[in-house]
Amino acid sequence: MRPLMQVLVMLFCATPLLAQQRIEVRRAATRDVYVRVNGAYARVKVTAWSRDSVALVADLPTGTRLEPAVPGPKDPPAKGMKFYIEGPEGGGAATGSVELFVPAGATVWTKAANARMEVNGVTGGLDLNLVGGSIVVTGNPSNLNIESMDGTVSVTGSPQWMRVKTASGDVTLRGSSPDAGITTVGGAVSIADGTFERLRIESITGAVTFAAHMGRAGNLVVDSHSGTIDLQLDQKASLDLDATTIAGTILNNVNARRPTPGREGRGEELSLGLGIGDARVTLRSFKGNIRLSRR
Amino acid sequence: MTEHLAASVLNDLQDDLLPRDKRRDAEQHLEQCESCAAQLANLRALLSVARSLPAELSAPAGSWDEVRARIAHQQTRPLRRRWAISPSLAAAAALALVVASSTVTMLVMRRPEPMTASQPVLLPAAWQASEQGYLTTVEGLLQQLHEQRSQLAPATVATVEQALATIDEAIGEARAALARDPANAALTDLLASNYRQKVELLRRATRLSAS
Amino acid sequence: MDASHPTAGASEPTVPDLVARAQRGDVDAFGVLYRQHESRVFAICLRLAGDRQRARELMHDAFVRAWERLGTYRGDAAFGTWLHRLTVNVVLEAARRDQRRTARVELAEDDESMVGVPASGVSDPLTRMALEEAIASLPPNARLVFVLHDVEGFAHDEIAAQMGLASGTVRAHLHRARQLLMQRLAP
Ligand SMILES: [Zn+2]
Repeated sequence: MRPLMQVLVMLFCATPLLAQQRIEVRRAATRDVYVRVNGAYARVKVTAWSRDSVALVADLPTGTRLEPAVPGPKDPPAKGMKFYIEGPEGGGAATGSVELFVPAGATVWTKAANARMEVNGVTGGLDLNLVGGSIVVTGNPSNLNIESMDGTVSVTGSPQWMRVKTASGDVTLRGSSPDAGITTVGGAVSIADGTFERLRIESITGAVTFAAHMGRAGNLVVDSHSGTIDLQLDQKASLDLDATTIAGTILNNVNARRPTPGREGRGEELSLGLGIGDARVTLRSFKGNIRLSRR
Repeated sequence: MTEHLAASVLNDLQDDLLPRDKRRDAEQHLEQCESCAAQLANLRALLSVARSLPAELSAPAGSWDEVRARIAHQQTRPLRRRWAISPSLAAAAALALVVASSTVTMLVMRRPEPMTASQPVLLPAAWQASEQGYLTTVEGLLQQLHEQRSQLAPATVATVEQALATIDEAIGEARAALARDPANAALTDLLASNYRQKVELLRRATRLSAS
Repeated sequence: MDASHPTAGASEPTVPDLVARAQRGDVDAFGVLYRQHESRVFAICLRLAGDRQRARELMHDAFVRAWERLGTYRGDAAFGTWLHRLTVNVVLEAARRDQRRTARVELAEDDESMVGVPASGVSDPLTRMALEEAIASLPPNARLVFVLHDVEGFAHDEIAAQMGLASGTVRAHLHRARQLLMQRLAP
């Protein structure tokens, strides 16, 4: 990507200072164009469209500048574009808002401090980075990487590959994925609806709720220090499950099997097999409780 | 006859990771089932060849000159030692490692100092090397974060420190429990998970503050 | 003169001597250590990376890192052991840096057809050459775990800690690697 970016004729058009300005940039682009939007903005909305072009519409307050690095209007379709939004001198909370239209197969990278990020319909790649605010993704990206601190994350769709990491932000996932990983320190994780093959969830204090389906050879691993792990199995769940706590309790409402005391009499352990499937479920909690139930 | 053994069971059997009862079941099945026995034989054949691969392969010629040039170039600059553990600390770490809880939390604000043995806890030998790896990584990331600190908003620093404090508390509890029960595999996994969280959080913080 | 004869000429410096000299900044002493260990270090890099060019770069990185970190080597393990572990770390760090890209490539590679793997003899279906090639063609994480566990003999937990993966994930990669290798090496 980078060499191509260097080949492109970059146009740096610093915009003049106005009270509130609307800036529009539109360029022809390849279907797998790579677009970066970085800087001081409070809202970005990314929408996939069926055209072979990228359009950016920014409403920016006084003192905020847009620096697009894009090819000239007559150049061949761009393989990469960058937009940097520079906040006013002296900082202050960003208030600008950006709307971006990209070909569905595009890869989009965004980064902001406090913002609302919304992405709809992108089937390429997404790399969304945020301190606080919220990220809402709808669609089926081929890969989805989200990093946030306080910001909440909500994904509706079926990413082929996804990794979500937050500090305190909650993570909600409605959909399916063959390969998903979620890491949070204190956010609540909630997974529902679809089918998962490889799914790994790590939390320190955040509660984890899994109410989706594990594929036939699926592998689900949940590790938590003190968050509750709540596994709500569907009727056709077919898996081998091992649950372990060091100090928490295990509540099994799935069948008659009772947990046994853990090593050295502390915590609890429970192994059970359901159906004939090959899916493996491993639940480990230091001092949180583990609950198993049928939906 | 019961259904065939899953691939994961055959693998775990081979790696001696099956609990005793499951192991017995699997062995019984293998005695009666040619198909599964053949699978296991295939696996064993693969592993025996893997173990017999030569330990050495001839390296491309002329490599030393390149390495020498890079080393010589480095010598003109001061050695970057600040992330390395000093021998005395390493020796201390070989016996007992440190719960670097509240001290580490403040490191984002202040310049990192070498870890001090405030609460020595005796851990299993197998874990020590792994933990040392995490500690070295954490130290490096803290240093990097400290250097980029001016680019982080105070609210972000507060968020990171809060999360670090939460993770450090979890690490402290898990380490103390592991010291009481060193052979507990679940506990080892949980502690490793806590460390991964810490490394991940610091990586994220450094990425967020880099422009 | 027979240079290989132990009594010929000045006595060969021992490894601890060479290490001590290198720790004091003697590049030539480090060069001797380099030549003693390059084949082993290269083998580790090549199998883990699955690519000669990349292996060469990683080997260089490993030796440069070894030079930087010589001060932390205290002689409690054999120098070779210390160096091999450091090499593994260098390769794994590089793999982690590429991980986002890797993860994407890995998905595509799963569907790769298995043509081109040489069929092997009936009496010994698994030849080393074929295995080396098949290892190189594995998806990255599967390759790393297989080489570390089944070739180099590291334990699951150790691999998990070094790669920053859950041990369940390490097992899944290992099982997948073995499965793919058996498929690719089937006569
Ligand atoms: Zn069978």
